[in-house]
Amino acid sequence: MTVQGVDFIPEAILDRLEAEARFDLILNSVSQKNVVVIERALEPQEELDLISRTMQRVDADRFTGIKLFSLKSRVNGGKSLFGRSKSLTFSVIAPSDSVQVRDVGGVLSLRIPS
Amino acid sequence: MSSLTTMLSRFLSKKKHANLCLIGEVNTGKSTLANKIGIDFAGKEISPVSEIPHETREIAVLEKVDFSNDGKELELTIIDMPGIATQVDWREFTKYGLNKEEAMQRAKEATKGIVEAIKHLNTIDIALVVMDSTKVPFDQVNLTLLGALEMQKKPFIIVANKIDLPNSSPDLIQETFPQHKVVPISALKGEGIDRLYQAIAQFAS
Ligand SMILES: Nc1nc2c(ncn2[C@@H]2O[C@H](COP(=O)(O)OP(=O)(O)OP(=O)(O)O)[C@@H](O)[C@H]2O)c(=O)[nH]1
Ligand SMILES: [Mg+2]
Repeated sequence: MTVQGVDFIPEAILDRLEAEARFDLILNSVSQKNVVVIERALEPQEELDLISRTMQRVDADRFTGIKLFSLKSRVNGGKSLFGRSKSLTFSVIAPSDSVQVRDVGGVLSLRIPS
Repeated sequence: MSSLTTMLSRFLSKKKHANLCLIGEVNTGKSTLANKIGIDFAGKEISPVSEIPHETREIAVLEKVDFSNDGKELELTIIDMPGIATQVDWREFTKYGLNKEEAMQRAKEATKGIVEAIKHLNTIDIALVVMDSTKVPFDQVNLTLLGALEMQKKPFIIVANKIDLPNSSPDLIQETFPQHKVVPISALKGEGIDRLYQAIAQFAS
């Protein structure tokens, strides 16, 4: 259940891949208990695709899904997380059963329960 | 009815037709609201309601709902979607008294329901994005849905539901989405429902 590590995926690598391979890259990593940080915010349609593909992989004991944050979409979000940080655009995808997520004074805080 | 006859009857009745889709996170009261609208304008319920998350696991449809408000009329097809989530854990359902087998079955159906809901978002003419106003609107699912609706230029109304509960905070939803129309309601008690119907009626012209 514990997070194994963090994978940073540069935009250049992501955008070189076809949709299928792109989502596989993300979900293979997350389902092996890594937190994935992508160097750009996913588009809403990509997020929907990612959620669909996540659901197709959900498995009773090994994979329960993801926690997903695309920080660009929070721009203009008033009081919400990173609301004023217009230049920050990245997505974080974490294994849902291995992290707790909190907004600590505007910082997206992933906590790994021991 | 065949699609040709449906098209023909829509053409003959001058009333504008629209697919009114209820979407949002799990357990926010989509089906309760769909049933309220169904009862008010067609005398029929659409979907079962439950406190157990992922009650709606297949899309439920009610056609020929003659909506009217203040002289404005629409022929609605009400589409109640499964709630969308980024995670489904069968263990959650055991807290509601389901045994392991039932819980695992429900989880499997829930994941399929989410895929179906996402696949059918393109059927939306008007979306009611239903949020639970007792919860912080922090989840990415809301942002993803609103972002996708904006990209596709689909009209939507944010419904801040469950305002009958003492810990509800519809203002927080309005503050989080300041550029959008938020209508606070209680689908259960009917509170605020007239304002929602007025908002839907705007789409008649
Ligand atoms: N207090 C209160 N409870 C509500 C209201 N609307 C719905 N509920 C309750 O919230 C729970 C979920 O309601 P549903 O209508 O099944 O929610 P849903 O969004 O269709 O849920 P899924 O189909 O599982 O995604 C049920 O226990 C309802 O009785 C409301 O306005 N006030
Ligand atoms: Mg429902």
